[in-house]
Amino acid sequence: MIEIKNLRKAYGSVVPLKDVSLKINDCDVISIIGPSGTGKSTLIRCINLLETPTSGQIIFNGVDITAKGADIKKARQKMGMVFQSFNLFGHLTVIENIMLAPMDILKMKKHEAYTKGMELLKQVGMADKALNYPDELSGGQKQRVAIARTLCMDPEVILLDEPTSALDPTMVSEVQSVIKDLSQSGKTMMIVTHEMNFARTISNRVLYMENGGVCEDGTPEQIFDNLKEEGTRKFIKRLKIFEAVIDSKDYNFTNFNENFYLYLLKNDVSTSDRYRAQLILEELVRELLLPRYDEPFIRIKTEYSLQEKDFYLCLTYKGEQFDIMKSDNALSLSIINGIASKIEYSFNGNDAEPNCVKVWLNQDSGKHNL
Amino acid sequence: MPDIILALKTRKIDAGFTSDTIAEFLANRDSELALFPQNLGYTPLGFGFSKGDKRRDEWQAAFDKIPEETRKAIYRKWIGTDESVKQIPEQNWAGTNGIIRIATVDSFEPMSYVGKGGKLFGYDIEIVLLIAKELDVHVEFTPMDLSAELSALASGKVDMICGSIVITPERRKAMDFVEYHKAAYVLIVRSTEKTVAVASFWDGIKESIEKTFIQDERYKTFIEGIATTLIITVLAILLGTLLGFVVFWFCKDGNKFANTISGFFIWLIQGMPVVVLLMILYYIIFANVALSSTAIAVVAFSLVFGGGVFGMLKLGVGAIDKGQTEAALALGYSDVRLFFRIILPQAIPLIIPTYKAECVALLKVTAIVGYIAVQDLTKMGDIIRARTYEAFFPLIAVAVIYFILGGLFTFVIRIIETGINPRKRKKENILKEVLSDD
Repeated sequence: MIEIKNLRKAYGSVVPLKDVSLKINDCDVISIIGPSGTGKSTLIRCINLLETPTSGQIIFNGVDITAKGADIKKARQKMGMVFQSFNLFGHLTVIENIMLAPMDILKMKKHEAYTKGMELLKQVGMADKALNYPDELSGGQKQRVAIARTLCMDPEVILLDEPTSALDPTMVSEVQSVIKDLSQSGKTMMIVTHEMNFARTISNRVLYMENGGVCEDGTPEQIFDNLKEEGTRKFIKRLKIFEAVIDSKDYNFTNFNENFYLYLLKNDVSTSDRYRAQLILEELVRELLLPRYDEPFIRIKTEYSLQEKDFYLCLTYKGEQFDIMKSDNALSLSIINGIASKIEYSFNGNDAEPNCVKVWLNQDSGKHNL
Repeated sequence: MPDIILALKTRKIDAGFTSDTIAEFLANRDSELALFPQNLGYTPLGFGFSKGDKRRDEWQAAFDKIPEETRKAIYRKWIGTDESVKQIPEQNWAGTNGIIRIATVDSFEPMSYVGKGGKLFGYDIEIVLLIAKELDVHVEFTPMDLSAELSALASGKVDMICGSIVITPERRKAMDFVEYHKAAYVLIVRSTEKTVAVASFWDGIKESIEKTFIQDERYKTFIEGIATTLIITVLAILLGTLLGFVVFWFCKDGNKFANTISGFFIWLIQGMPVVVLLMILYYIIFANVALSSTAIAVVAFSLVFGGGVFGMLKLGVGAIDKGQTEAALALGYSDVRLFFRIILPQAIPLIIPTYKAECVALLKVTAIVGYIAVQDLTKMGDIIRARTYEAFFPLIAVAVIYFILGGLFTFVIRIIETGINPRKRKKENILKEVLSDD
């Protein structure tokens, strides 16, 4: 239905969209996810030419709408758009907002437009507000009206640009349920969203975008469950990374602890998890590893998932093979074992840092009373 | 001149320096005033032609043919108090030798002034018409200020100027004169023997009202002034709005060329006092164009108002969220249609309050058209003041009329506003036709 070929959009030296090619089939419900500023909105806005692509083609129903002299208005009539900021017409009542375009553009009779508009308002649960003005509605209500306005033009594709991002958390679900109903109606849809669970439930296809390109394209299961790409994994699990290298016996631990503490605070780690993470690092590095080597080189990497609220710790270090589990520091080991939910040790002589310890900490369920 | 008399009567000054013609006339009419019996020197008065104009000689010759007694009789008639004999002959001769355009002073009784029925009267006028009859030409008079007369002659708007014009050496360098009268400078003072009994307060007011409005049907003069003021203001509002809109239309999409040009003109127009713009248009740009001074005033105020409307539109439309345009585009609207259907209806309510104020401001600023010989309300007030030598009623009347007109403008725009602001519709009227059938 829509074919995007080598789409590129640049504003001077800023290139939010680099070479995107994509085929959208009939009845696809596509969620576009990815970090902020990776061109998701730009992509969706290029499809109905609200942004003029710098280069590339968009072929809609066999017609190249990026070509010179193409009937953009006609194409836009068939591509509804729902905006983050609703953009209801402030001077018109709810029902007039819906009737305006069908009457002006599709030359629909007033009666007909009214009947259809009211039907759609009932569908989104807004019929009782038909004669209210947009500024008398809540955000969620506005967005439902905006969806009805788009539907009244009978579009073949509906583009939704972060439809719930400007909403209060309490109103997100009412709009999501309307969109969910819509996704089951067989209309082709494309939705930019930050709500992962929502994306997963409504779509049959997910695009993961990063740095102005589509990184992964697959079913929700493929994207969310088998996290192939590092970027996708980081994004979906909402991983926060902390890295440090300890390369001398006189390493400044005060400084290190401060940085680590800030990192934990910034990511809103709970007090007990924070304490556990700090303790386990301290035991591992200062009690087990540093006493062992004369010229230490320890690389620390921790990942904290905002999504699942768990820690992952990876320590790689130079020097002879040394499995911490075999250390004779029984006190430290028992502390470590008490905190960690899983510990793995491996040795690979080909790596620069051949020793590798991986430690997983699950969210504190309250059983560790430290 | 009326200002001198007013100042004299209200004891702001003790003597006024003027020519004997005016002083004698005033002393004859008003027993409160008297001539200070000393001649302070003579000066010739003249009809001024452009330097080198051949017609001057014809006019001088024709003037010389008028017998001394006739001239004296006419002079006595105009400085006398008998208003009934002060008539001006009709131009009922053939006029085979064409038309001469003459600018004359509008408020210089008894030499040249606008009187009953908005017609010109005075000694100068009668002498000019005597000569014109002799030469068989028709005269087209334009009453204006003295300063405007001099510029009008210089810019070729008129062929001759008259109205008690003093011939000075400097003016001789720029003009050729027909000398028609020798005036003496005198002082006019309050008479010592104050013979007039002080009228009662109410009688005084009654007399003033009578003088200002009733006598010589002067209310008609006010009505004419109101009509002129209204015509200029309303036309300037309509044309200015149109102009502002058209310019905005070309500039709204950020066309660099259109924006530069319009920016320059708006800078130019708004950078100078309106009265200067008005005179530049009248004396320079349209000097040789057959446009009435009222039309030129309309042009000037349209330009000024257009600049204002442009600015208002720019602000009002700029205040509308870009999302409105995007939503309309996404629905399939064209740029033009979405502007009229979605942007403008939301911008107008933002603009209207300023627009209303600008309209009333324009009404008031048109008071300066007297500078280019348009007889608007303010000028008519001046003319009546010059006849009655009273400040209070003409000025208060003019002020009150401006208030009423301003109120009228506000009222009309408010009605329009209610009609076009969608948010001011009554709820039951929205979708009336659809809902009533349900």
